[in-house]
Amino acid sequence: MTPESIVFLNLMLYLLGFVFLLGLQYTVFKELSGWISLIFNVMGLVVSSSVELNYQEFYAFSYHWLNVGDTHFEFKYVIDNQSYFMYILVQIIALAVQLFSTRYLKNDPGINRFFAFLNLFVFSMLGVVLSGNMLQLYFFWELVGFCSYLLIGFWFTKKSANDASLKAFLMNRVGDALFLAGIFTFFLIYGTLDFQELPIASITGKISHFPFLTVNEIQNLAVLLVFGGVTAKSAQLPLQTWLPDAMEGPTPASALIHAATMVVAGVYLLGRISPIIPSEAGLIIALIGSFTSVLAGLSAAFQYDIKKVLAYSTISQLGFMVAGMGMGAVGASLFHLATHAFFKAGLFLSAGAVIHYLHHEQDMRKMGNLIKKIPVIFYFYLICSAALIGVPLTSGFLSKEALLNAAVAYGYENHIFSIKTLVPIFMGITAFLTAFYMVRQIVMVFFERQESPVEKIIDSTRKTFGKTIKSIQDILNAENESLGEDRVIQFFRNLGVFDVAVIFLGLGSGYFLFSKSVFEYKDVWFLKIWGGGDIHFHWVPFAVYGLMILALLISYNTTFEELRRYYLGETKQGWQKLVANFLLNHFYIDKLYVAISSKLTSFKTFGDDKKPGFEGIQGLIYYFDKNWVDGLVNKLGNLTIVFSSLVAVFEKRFVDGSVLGISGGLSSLGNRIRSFAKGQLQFYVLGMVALTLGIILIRILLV
Amino acid sequence: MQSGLISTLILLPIFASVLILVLPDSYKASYKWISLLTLIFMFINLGTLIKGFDIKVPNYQFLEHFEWIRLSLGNTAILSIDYIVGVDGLSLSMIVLTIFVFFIANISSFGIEKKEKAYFSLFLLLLASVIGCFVAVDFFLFFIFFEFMLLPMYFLIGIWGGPNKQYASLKFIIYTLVGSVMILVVMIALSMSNTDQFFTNEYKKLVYSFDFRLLSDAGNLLSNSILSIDKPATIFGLDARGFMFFLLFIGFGIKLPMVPFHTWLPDAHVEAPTPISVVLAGILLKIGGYGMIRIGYGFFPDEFQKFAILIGAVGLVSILYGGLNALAQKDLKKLIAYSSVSHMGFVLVGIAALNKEGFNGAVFQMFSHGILASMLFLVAGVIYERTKNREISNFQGLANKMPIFTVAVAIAFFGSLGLPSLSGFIGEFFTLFAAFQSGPIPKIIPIMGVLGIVISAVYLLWTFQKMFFGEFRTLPDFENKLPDLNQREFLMLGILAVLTILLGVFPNLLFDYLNPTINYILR
Repeated sequence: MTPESIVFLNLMLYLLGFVFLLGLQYTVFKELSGWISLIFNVMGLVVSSSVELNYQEFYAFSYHWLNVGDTHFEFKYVIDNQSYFMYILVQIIALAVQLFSTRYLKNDPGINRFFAFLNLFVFSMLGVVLSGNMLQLYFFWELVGFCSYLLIGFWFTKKSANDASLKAFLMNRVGDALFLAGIFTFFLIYGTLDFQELPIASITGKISHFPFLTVNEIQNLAVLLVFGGVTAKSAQLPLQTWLPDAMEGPTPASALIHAATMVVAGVYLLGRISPIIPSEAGLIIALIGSFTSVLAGLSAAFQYDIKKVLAYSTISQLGFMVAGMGMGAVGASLFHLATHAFFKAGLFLSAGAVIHYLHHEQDMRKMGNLIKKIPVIFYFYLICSAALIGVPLTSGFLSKEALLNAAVAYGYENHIFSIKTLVPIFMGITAFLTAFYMVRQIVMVFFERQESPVEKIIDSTRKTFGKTIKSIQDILNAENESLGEDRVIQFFRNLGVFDVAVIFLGLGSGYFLFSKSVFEYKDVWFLKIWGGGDIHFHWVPFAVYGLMILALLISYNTTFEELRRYYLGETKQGWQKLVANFLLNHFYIDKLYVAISSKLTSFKTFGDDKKPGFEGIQGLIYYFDKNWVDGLVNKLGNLTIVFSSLVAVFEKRFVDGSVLGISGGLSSLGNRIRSFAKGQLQFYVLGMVALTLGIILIRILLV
Repeated sequence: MQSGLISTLILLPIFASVLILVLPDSYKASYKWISLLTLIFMFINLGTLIKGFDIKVPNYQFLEHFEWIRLSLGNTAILSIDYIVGVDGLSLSMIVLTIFVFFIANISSFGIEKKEKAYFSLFLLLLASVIGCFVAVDFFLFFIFFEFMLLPMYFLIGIWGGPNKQYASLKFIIYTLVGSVMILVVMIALSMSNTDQFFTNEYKKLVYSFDFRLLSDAGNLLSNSILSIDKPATIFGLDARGFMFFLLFIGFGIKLPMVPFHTWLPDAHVEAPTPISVVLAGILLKIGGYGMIRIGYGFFPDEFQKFAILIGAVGLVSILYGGLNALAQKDLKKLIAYSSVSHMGFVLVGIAALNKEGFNGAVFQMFSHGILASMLFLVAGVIYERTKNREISNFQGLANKMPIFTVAVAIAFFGSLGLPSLSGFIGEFFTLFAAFQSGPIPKIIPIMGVLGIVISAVYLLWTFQKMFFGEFRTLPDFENKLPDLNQREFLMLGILAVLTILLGVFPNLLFDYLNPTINYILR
């Protein structure tokens, strides 16, 4: 097969999967949707992995999409280094997530809907990845947003889920509006939206239409407008607050969409336009990204909801990648994107398993002792966390080192301190915070403690995990010599769907998937392609180790202290309480937005039930419309009625015979009409028109 | 080549209308089928038309030209009014839309249970005059159809409408008549300033013509007429051409509708029965945009250049003002009516761009709005027919009871808020895109226009969430009255949904027809 037909077939597979699974709604096969969807996914992976790609070459296929006047847009698929790895990555993560979901949503009445949406999502996401121009990317960009809306609000009877989905879509819409303006500006500057043509395109004459700004400023503006779209999709300041709320959706969907793939679309887009990002815009992007990562890291350290911690952590890591793009470290940023996809999806799925195990309990303070209950999940949670923290032997170590090294090189350019230096400082703080909150989470969720209330709630879910636990206990309890093959086989046989999915992603978080050497990132594929494999500062990894160990020690102790206080019922007082609340609520940014928007619209929340009459800005405008614009018309209307009755009288008495004849005809018509519908005014209106017509005719003929 | 294809399109519904009138009341049940059959015949006719239509020819095709009125104005001049009909890419696309929308409205009219005879004959008359409006190549002929349209519309709202129908229908007719008068003035002034040079030489008399093709050619302008470009007359301190521009702008703007001449629309929609709302939003509004391109820009291109910023600004105000008003509505149908104002604002912005992308985008937006607004009004109709109630706050969690309906609503809503892959996106994108690329329009207009897509997402998704999600809850009376879509509703919404997806994914289906014509109009 040619690559062209492979891509086509691949996309169509997922679209077909979407339609097919939706169609299962009223059939007996509904229960099997998960496995059917998995078949589609595996077929997709098989098909797509048959594309053979050398490092240097790329495929591009364009189809004529539309031409409007002199403007032509094409549907263009590009398989190059950047799209190919994402193309495979998305499907691999989707595979793990779907496998996990077959169990997680087993008895959900909307199971076919869930898998149908996942298929639509994979289709759209592949569309984003393969897009050859910005308009096409926008096309799929909004579609993935739509899928995200559908999946966050998947349990549509739940109010909080609906509010969250609405908020996600609307905040993304704000970003999309900026993105759209950015697309317009790009086209104005370069006359093309094609990613391959943009870096070499010459500046069009139309740019002179733009008032006030110089060419360079407009180029910066265009990039920043597009970055506005990125801030929404990749949850950066100031549009990041939808992502924590998005955790209302089913956990596997969060893993796929709001951690591993969709949210990195913004980073991916920045990668696509990286050759034309001017340095000023790049600095702003790097600052926003690194600053967001600190803010989100701080908030993550104060959350109690297991998914919220991961959500803020995602924002924080996305900030890393965005900052990387801003400073031009494309390879390191994309590398981190790839490693992050594995370990973050692994973390989310493990968290999903924990939540499932604990009957939808998400408060970490009420967990604990899970180390023995669900050991497989624990060990792979540990691996994924280690990757997130950046512990050696994991993939996260390599990508984080690469990024931090690039950041230091960027911020400490020519060995002088400048505003750029803030970027590595922020990122260093984040590295510390990451270690802090992950250790805190592991301690709270898994570690043994006496007060844990877990025992009471797990009895009925024991079946899900029971066999695995038993076999792993067999292995652990066994004497060395009796650790026979049969026990290991038994162990694998007893692995649940949850375990398999998590193990799969956990193994993907090891260093060996990306690099041959353990401690050096110089032979990582990404950095070979895009550059950035050089190690400028040998002290960076050691500084990071230092931070990590420090964070580990502090976190381990404070977490137990925190738990102790929780069980004793001690609450924080004074400034401690203020700070904790401040960070728990993510600096009240979201509260501020809600306050402003509810002030403007008088809706209390995004989905407020009450819709008051003339309140809010829209109510004011409607009041104006009803009482002034329409009121004026009604007054005019009344005036016309008076006037036209006068005219009618005038017409009857003074206008000569021929006109009388016409109006006589009209009035008899009017009578007939009147018998039809008891209207009063047709006659006058028709008379008025006839009269006006006559007057104007006469006037013009006389001229 | 006088094929008669186009005249057939006008005459078929007129014959059917007469047939319905003469059939006795005992055939009552067959009226709707006669009407539907007529539309099916028209589809076949349309198919022949599209098959024979040459995409590459920018000018009118299938022309039919008959002399109609030759009025001698004294010894020096002759007034020549002809029956000329023809289609180019622009009118063809509008005819396609017309027949589709009327087809849907006809199916929707199956529920009419009062004075069927009058209803269906008026309905068909309306169809004939709308088609006539789009195919007329003579200004006088256009105006006759344009005016005649009001009559059936007036009764259709006034008789089959809701409780406040008298007020609404009267408001509709007065508003539109005011607009008509303005257009009439322009028509007369234009024809008195242009001559048919061929016949003028033939008869040795000035021959005033209403032929669109002659009117749009500045070479035919009389140098001493009030509309002459070099030394125009002055009316109320404005030069005559500028004055005429304003008359046309407001005249067609009322129809479009543009702010501040839009207030007839919410009232008319709220009172009109569902099929008539569909026709009104789906087709009648488009005549405003069509007229503005064909007649407005066609005959006064320089004035459009001069006042482009004004047109764009009015368009922008319509987008935002309409959207914010929609946000304040509690009645579903009123919300949709205001959303129409907002969406038609994009048409104005596209026209203001005065480039190919803008005009194409504007026509696409009209077409797409024709489909989506029809869908939206059908959605409101589905709920209203079941419960006789349209208050948004009375419904919650409908998705539990009506899953298929929810899918249809999702397509309609997301199409309207401009989700790519549905047709609304293409229209909104290209109108704003064109305005941004256009020289004379300040960049702030398209930039602010982008806010329109945010506002539309707010009011549509808010409504969607409120009515369809959550636990099922409604007034006690309605609880058992809300079954899912029946076959008729499924058919209507299904056809429109397929159309909107088709156009959203393959916009060239329409652009291929529009491009040559738009290029020709903008030459």
